[in-house]
Amino acid sequence: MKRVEPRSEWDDQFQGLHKKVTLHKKEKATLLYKLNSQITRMENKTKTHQRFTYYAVLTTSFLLLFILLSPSFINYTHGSGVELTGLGVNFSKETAIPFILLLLFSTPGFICFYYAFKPHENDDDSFLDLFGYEMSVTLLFIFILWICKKLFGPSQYVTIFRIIVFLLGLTVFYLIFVFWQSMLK
Amino acid sequence: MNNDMNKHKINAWYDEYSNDIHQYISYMINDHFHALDLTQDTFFRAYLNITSFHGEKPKAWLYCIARNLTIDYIRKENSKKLIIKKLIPNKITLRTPEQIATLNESEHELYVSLQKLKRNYRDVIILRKIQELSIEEAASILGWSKSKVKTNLQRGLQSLKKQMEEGGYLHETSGT
Repeated sequence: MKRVEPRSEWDDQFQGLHKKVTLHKKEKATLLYKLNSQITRMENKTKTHQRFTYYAVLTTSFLLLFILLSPSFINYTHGSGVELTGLGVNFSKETAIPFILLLLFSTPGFICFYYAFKPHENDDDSFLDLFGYEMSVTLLFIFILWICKKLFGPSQYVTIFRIIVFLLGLTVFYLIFVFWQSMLK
Repeated sequence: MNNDMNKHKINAWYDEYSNDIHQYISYMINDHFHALDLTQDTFFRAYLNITSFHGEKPKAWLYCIARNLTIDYIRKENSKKLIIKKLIPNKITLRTPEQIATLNESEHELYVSLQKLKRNYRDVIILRKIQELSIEEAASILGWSKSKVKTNLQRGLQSLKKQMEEGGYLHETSGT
């Protein structure tokens, strides 16, 4: 009996605590609104995230195709019309190794486009994560982003970073173009 | 289409359980405003992981999510408190809003003593005594056996009594 008495008395107080600490109607409605906004934002973000990778892949594929077909175009426009290279008739053992190298060298270009199109929200720390992994490849991009952050205002630095990275991607593909041309000569 | 269905489900659960979840978090962390954030996070996390929920008791599942979030929050806060504690020793800060002002003296004393308890004891007292959940429900939320819930509740109440004695409250409430 001695042990039960204070506990039953507390039970009333516990019930008091249960009744008095509750969400107000307004708080509940505000919280629901915030929750639904958060869900909608997340859904939109997922859609954008799915799209931006396609942009990077499309740009890379287009440039690769252009580079591969460029020798044929050049020959055609110069009027020789005899030797077709690139994806043309002379695709042989000699062109296979440069072709594989070309595909390999296009990876850094693709990563550049990936960062150029990747959404950046609220100073997101995961912005420079590469497909979810921290890799040494990202070091250069971390450095570029850091420089941009130091030199430009908070509203501009991401855009400038994107421009730099996009140009870097184009440079990579230009170098691949030069390499492909020289290998086929 | 599936997303809409999940959203409706979360909204329905929110209507039904948000008060309980918020109350549980409020008592666990003693901070009304952060409790609001954590309540929102609980339902958001539930939405993100709704495909992994196949049970029939969403309440227990939501409580589990809320508990995990609360534990994470307490761990983060504890590291901050280590520094603050040296500057303001033994000071309980009641940061909950006007609701605390509506508590009568004995409820307030109980509330203060409750905040000083070990997390496990506080957990089980909040679920069993304040929220009046059954032993089975509390056991499934806490991931304990029924006997562990009973034992911890008993020890928690003893510890609460001790806290109230130390605080000089018990002679008024129990009449000892």
